[in-house]
Amino acid sequence: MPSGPSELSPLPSKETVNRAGRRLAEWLYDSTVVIPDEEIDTLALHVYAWRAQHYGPLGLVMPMLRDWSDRYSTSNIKPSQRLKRFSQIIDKLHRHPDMKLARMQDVGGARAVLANRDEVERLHAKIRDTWGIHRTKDWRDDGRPDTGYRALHLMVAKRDQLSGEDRVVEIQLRTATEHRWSQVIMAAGERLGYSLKDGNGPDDLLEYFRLASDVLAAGDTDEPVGDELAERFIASRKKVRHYFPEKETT
Amino acid sequence: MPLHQFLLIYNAATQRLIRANDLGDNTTGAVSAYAECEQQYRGNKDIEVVLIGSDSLETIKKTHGHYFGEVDPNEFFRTVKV
Repeated sequence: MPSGPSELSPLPSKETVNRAGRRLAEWLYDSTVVIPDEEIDTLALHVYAWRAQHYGPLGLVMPMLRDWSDRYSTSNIKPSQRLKRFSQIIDKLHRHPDMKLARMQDVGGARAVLANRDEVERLHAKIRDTWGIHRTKDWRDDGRPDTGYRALHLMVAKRDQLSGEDRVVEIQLRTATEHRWSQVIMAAGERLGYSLKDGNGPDDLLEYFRLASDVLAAGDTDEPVGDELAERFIASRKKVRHYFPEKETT
Repeated sequence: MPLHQFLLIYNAATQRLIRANDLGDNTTGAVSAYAECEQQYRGNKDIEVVLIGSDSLETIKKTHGHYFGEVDPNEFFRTVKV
């Protein structure tokens, strides 16, 4: 009987964590890879132990993020945090064969939704000036090429008391419009059985979401939607109408 | 309002939330409870277990609305126009 996660949380080395993540990704997605149950349990516990080391750092980020959000945000949405799901961690390693789990930067994540880009920028500056930023992923202007996802992701390093080392956590800053788009692509993907948010699904639908993101971004920046974008969006919207059937009203 | 941890169990196949447990603001057990619950459902690809922290469940309905059926893709399609 394997120990429960709470009992087996000592600190696996980064090499052990990397190896565990890779083995689990191979096992889960390759039916020819057979690993005994007891070994799977042990590998999984290494992943859980690694993930747990991001909980303390999130706990250091959240109080100030909540305080700043109260001060700078008029979106009426408070921040939240989450530890990445086990299956998402393994799935991400599968999708990125060169990625090492110990270098995955969104195991611990916080999210703040702000009313507009000015508020995002104000919070960005506050985080930068207070904590320093380990790494930035800025998809605000162009959107992510595969999906059109827009947001500002800031990676900050905070001390984990379990290991005595810094762990990187990701802070997502989104405008309310970016957040709405993001929630919808996730819900639509789930409804239709595609992982649209990861860029998997029918080309026409992914194209629609990319263009919708461009259209919404124009609103976020008070720019007019250009003629070319408008034409492409209208054409795309016609093609994907059948994915969004209206319920019949009586 | 202290930060509360909520353990959500969600069926992605039926898009229904099965359970939302408020683990309170005593966070020491939350991470273990999360891993134990995930282990219970390991092998079931339809079930998602996730630990989300916030001031309230109402906030999580906004920040992670798809777990609660709060997101309507049809409404988005209908209203995002040029």
